[in-house]
Amino acid sequence: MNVTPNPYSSLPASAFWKLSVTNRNLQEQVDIWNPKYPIKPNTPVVTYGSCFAQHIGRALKARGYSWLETEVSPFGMRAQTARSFGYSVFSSRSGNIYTPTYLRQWTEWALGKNSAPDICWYDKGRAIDPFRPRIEPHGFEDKEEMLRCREMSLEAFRESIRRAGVLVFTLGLTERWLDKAGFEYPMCPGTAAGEFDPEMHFFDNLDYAETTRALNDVTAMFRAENPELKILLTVSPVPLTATASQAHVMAATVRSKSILRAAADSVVANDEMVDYFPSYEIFSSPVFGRGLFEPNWRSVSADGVRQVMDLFFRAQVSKFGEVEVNLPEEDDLYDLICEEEILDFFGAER
Amino acid sequence: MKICVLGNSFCIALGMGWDELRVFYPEISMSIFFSPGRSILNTEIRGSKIVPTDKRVLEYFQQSSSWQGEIDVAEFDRFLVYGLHPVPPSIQNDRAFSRAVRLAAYKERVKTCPVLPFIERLRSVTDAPIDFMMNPYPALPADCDPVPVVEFLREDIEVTTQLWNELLNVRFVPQPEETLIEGNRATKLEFAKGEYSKPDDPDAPPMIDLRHMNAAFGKVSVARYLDGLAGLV
Repeated sequence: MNVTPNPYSSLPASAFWKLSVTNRNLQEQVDIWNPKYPIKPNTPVVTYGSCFAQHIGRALKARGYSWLETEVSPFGMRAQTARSFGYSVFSSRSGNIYTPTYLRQWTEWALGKNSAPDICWYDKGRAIDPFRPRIEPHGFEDKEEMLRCREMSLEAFRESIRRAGVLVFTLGLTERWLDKAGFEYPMCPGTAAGEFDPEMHFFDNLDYAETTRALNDVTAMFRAENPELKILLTVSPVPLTATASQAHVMAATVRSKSILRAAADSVVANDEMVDYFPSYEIFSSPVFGRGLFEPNWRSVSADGVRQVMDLFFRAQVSKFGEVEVNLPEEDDLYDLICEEEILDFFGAER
Repeated sequence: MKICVLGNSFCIALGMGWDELRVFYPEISMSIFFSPGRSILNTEIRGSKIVPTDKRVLEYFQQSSSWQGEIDVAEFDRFLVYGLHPVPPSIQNDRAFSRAVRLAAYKERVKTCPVLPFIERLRSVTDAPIDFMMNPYPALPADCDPVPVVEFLREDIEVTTQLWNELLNVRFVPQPEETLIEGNRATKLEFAKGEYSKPDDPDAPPMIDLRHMNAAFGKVSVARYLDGLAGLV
């Protein structure tokens, strides 16, 4: 065949499936991410979002990068206990933030643009924060303590935004639960805690426009607080535990992840300081993904996370050069704090 | 009453304080054994004796008291284990924590206390009363602004006292209130060792030590400790 010069003839190997996927293993996918900006070991990085964000914070810390925590556990508390109380899970004690709209709500509260409601749930006499239902394993002493601690966490969140060089946010879900006053809950009332009231609580599934708007709103609020802040988005590869959308959970997962991915792309395309790391793409690819999940095909495996985070750091080195890091002492093993797992309980009997 | 004080470099202030006070307590003798950092853990029990397993500890024991390095537990009526356990920082804002978080931290602080194995060993050979004091809170320079935590300090002392008592029948002795900046986890600057010259380089600019305390601190600490014992009788 007589081939004349065309737009494809000068493209790099990464543009061709055969060259970059068929003929390469996962560890050779260094060019799968072309980072916009360097993340140096001394760059303060904050992480928020779904369960997957915990892996990123943990990987940064393990490799001697500056994972910033602005809400730390009291002196003397062991690391594992601290995590059970929501410390050292994200950069402050926000709990899981699954949707961009919930991130917007939390940011508005933290930056004083809106007030958090003083709704309180109770369980066996203990006060539960509806907006962080699992942050205290046995609940708070009373409503006053719950509100005081939430205020502290919002202050710590604000502080983390102000001090961060890079904010990593993992987008988890589009499915969400709201009440009639318009407040969004991180978990459906009645699952992790509280009671579901069909007159009061309702389901919503974000579309592309709503998701993109929420991400843009959040980015603008962050920028106003910290003009130098860079943002790194990634879509969590963890599928939905359960869906309330009436669709099959697999179809619902693809819908959710597709919208999140497209919305992220829109924000990244229009903002030089917002980047996207393709963790969802790597995990969900049939080429690489099979070995990256646990046997339940939902939880990402420790080895999978390691391999993907290896790519993250190698892409940084490939573009910006080697960096010197001081490795911290080995952290003890811990479980991820993933509230959404609770939904699995409701499907266990069937 | 013969009291045996065991600890680390924080004991030096107690020793200086005791030197000034001993004439007022003729019925009490206080023998102080210390070695740096947590090296006192490098000891073992042989019969009723605490025996250093490392030469450095032996030398420190010999220097810090007139004894020959072995401590016969049976010769003492009471023990005070001092230092060897860091304290929460003065910037810790206890108001940010729920009571459940605070209680879990107090509990784990006792259970993971670095000197716990030493106290366990000591308890295994004596029924005599054992008292325990943590490191003094570091002193704060005048321009620092500690977080006032008065109500939480009280709770901390109350719970820690109970935990030590339950764990090994040990009496927890808090830092004397008059040495603290009121309601704070910080020692008043006047009690700090403060400026000192490096012994090997006297011409170097003076160092400032805010972690170790002076004779005045030792005097107050020993006096309050002994007053506390009188209250127990």
